[in-house]
Amino acid sequence: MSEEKSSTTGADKMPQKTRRFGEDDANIVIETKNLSKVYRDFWGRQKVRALKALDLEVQKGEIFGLLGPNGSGKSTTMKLLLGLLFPSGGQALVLGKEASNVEKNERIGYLPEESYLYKFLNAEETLDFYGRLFDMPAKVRRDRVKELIEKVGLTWARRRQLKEYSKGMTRRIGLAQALINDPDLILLDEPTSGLDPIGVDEMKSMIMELKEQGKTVVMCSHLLTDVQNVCDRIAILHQGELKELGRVDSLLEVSDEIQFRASGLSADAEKEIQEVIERHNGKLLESGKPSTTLQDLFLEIVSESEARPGRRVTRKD
Amino acid sequence: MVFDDSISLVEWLSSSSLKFIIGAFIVAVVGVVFSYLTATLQYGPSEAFYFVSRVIFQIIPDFVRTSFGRIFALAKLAVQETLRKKIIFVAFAIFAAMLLGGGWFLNANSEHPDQVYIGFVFFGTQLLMGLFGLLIATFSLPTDIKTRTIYTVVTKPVRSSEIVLGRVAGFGFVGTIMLFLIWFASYLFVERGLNHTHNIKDVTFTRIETKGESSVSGGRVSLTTEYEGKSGLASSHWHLIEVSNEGLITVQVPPEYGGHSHDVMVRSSKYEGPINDRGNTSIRASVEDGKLIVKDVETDEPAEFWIGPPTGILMARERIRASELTFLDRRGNEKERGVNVGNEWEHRSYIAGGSSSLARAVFTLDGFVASKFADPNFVQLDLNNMSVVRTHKGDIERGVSGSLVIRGVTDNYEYRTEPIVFEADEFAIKTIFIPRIQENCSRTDLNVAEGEFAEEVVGSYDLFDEIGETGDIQVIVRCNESGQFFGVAMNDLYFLTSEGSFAWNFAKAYFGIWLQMMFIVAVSVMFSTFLSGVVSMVAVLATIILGCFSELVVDLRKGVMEGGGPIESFYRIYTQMNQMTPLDEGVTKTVIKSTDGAFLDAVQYLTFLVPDFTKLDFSEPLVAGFNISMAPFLIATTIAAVFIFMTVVIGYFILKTREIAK
Ligand SMILES: Nc1ncnc2c1ncn2[C@@H]1O[C@H](COP(=O)(O)OP(=O)(O)OP(=O)(O)O)[C@@H](O)[C@H]1O
Ligand SMILES: [Mg+2]
Repeated sequence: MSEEKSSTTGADKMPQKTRRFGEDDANIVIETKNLSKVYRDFWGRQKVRALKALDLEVQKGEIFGLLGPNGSGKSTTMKLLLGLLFPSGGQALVLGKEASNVEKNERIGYLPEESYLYKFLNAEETLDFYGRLFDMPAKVRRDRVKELIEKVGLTWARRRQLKEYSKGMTRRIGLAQALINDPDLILLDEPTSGLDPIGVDEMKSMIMELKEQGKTVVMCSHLLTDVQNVCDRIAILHQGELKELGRVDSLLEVSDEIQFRASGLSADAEKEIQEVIERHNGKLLESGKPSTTLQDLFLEIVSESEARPGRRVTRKD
Repeated sequence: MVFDDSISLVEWLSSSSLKFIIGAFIVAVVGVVFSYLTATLQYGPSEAFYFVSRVIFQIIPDFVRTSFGRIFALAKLAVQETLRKKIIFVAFAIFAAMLLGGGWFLNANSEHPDQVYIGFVFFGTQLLMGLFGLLIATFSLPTDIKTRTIYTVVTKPVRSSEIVLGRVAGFGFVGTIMLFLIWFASYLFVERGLNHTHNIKDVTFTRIETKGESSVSGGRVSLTTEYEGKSGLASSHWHLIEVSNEGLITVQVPPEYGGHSHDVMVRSSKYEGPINDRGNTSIRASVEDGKLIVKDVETDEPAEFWIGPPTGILMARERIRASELTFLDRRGNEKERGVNVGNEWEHRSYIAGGSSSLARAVFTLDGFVASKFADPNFVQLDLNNMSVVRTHKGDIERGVSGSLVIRGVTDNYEYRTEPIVFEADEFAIKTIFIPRIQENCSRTDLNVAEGEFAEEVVGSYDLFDEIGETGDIQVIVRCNESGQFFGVAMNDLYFLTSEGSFAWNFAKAYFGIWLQMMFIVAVSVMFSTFLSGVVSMVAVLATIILGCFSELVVDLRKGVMEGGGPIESFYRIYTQMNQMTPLDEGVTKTVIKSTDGAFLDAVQYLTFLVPDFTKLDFSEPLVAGFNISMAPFLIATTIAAVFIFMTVVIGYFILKTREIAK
């Protein structure tokens, strides 16, 4: 277990202990203190305690993952950060501003759980509309719309109304919408849901690309694999409480296991190695040819078919 | 409710703005307290205080950062929403069906087909535009919140004021386009339906056998009429055409398709215009072998003739109305009101007739200047809707005789014209032409030394330059027959100055519908920031109803209507008591009156917060054929602008304090 992991409670300590909440710091993008949310009905009766005293700090340029099972408060946290909900207690600062302040939105991109877009618009109109909300000049807007549609791979469907879009296509245009203003901070709520494996892969590389550009990304997901490859740091929520916070590599590292992979070995050689492990009081957990994952296989097939697009036609003849 | 164009914008502003400011202040205070209380329920008292004050401090930055680009984007979205969801086409289909259906039913003969036609399309448009505004604007925002599409919008740098304004502008734009098309269609419908002419060339004229009696229609004709004929049929009616012994032509108002007549128009090398007692021409008509011959009697040149467009309908008459009405009682004492002849609900006052009665109705008019009149040589005075109460039958065939005197006072003289006699018909327009030069007018010198008699000179005086030199005149009306009464109200007497364009008036009245539509859209958006679609619809309807009856509520409070408030009315119905019988003194009366008072006070304060919807409605002058003058037009525009602004501000607050993702 890593050092960081030993401190598991909600009140996780951050590296700079002397910093006061809300103090000016260009490196801190999101900061919450005691942030909590209780859903109440109109009369003020408590329904759900969705978030309990969350303390978080997200640094500039990192990819931060919010993990947790369904209903653990991930989306609630995002909505509080965006000002879509008002906190029942505690505070949240985003880009140095109060979460309820609209001005912070100038530099934020947000992809909601589901892409909540106007179904009667087509892809171009959608992006143009959101571009206008940032008061972007016409020329910049036009270029940006074109660029983003290409980037999310929807050029072929750019004139179709969104009501004809499939779930994954809607997700793509949703992402494009979140990037229209070239934001510094991007909040992605389940970015890979509804995407096909290529889409998932593209999404991941797009997120990495954003990081390379120096952007900060906060994403939430309950799929560990999504998070594993891309996130620098993660927080794990369960029933509105922070359970885990730390760097991904150290969190996932299994310190008492070592994995070997080799090629070109004979069966004898394999046996010999096994004996060596036993001699050192180790235990061979698994051996054999490493199998490729389903995702890898799917990717291979698709990339092969893309490399030779005419193949099916020639086979038919 | 009587359409009133006698107050100017400034007068109206000075009387209404204080009430409005009080109302707005109440709204602001109630709003802050209410939002504090609801926030307390949600976040507890101290967080709530922080919350409310934060909202208040963000007003100015939000206002400064409001962007037209964003409002435009949101408005465009609203337009796209309406068009792509095809709501607008449904509305058009309803209107087309209405016109077709209406055209079918309205052909029925009526006393005032013009008023029926115009009233029908106007009311239909009002209803349609109101419903349209209501439907598109109340459901949009709640749907946006329910489907959460608004999440993607409010997480952009969008102010809630922009969301509200964008919607008002977008839906307003669609409504405007729609109203424009409907206005155009309605105008064509009215114009096509009413504008007509009749054939006169082929009419056979016959000689009148008994003076004053028509053998064609069986009714009466003028005593000077020599020949009569039946015009060609058009729009399912015909007119009786009379040719007088002087060769002038009049066209009668038909009984079954009333409200209009025509002028017979003539054209020669010297003159083109009507051939009647006001047409200044030497062209005269005669009848030979049953056919009409029209020629210039001086040059013997034959003239063309035809029946002109309808007169008395599709009008936009301009008038000078009384600014004050006072009364003299039987003994000649000044009084504010005349006699009450029994009907409490009536706003008219009565003057008793008879040669011994000194009872008079005195109308004071200002702004009486020649330049306002299209033809100052013959000034047209209308007695409109004056009521006549007979205590005995008299000559039932004829109206009740009355007379009027025009009085003008200048620095040096007092003028009184010779009495002008007229016959008053119950609830009809009585038109009197008054020549500019008043013969037998008396002039009294006002600058007389004490103890001397004022010199009175009878002679010819000019109505404008002498009698009405100051621009102020009085018209003094009396009833000549004893035992009969005239009932008059301020708006019953006016001078017609000129004939405006009906098309323009029609457009102005439709502008009123536009204001109503914009207001409905704004209120709908306002309510839909915190209520569901259906509930907002109900709330908007309640607002409109309150707006339509606000005047009534104010009147009730003033005690003008004696029926009392809701509780008193209920008590009277319950005890089967007459409206006129006073309530017995005692505890019951006190309780009833004070509860009613408190109730009406509360409603009255509410009405200050809701625009007087009747002030945005120009159907009355449009249908009656009067020009919609500038003052009510400006007042309506001001009312609409102020209230739309207010609804946007309230909508901004509500949306800002609302948790969108809840
Ligand atoms: N509008 C709401 N009213 C009442 N309770 C709500 C509301 N929205 C969420 N909740 C509750 O708050 C808790 C946290 O919900 P949240 O949507 O944040 O979960 P999540 O971690 O995003 O889950 P998922 O992985 O399914 O998206 C849940 O118990 C949920 O029922
Ligand atoms: Mg979620």
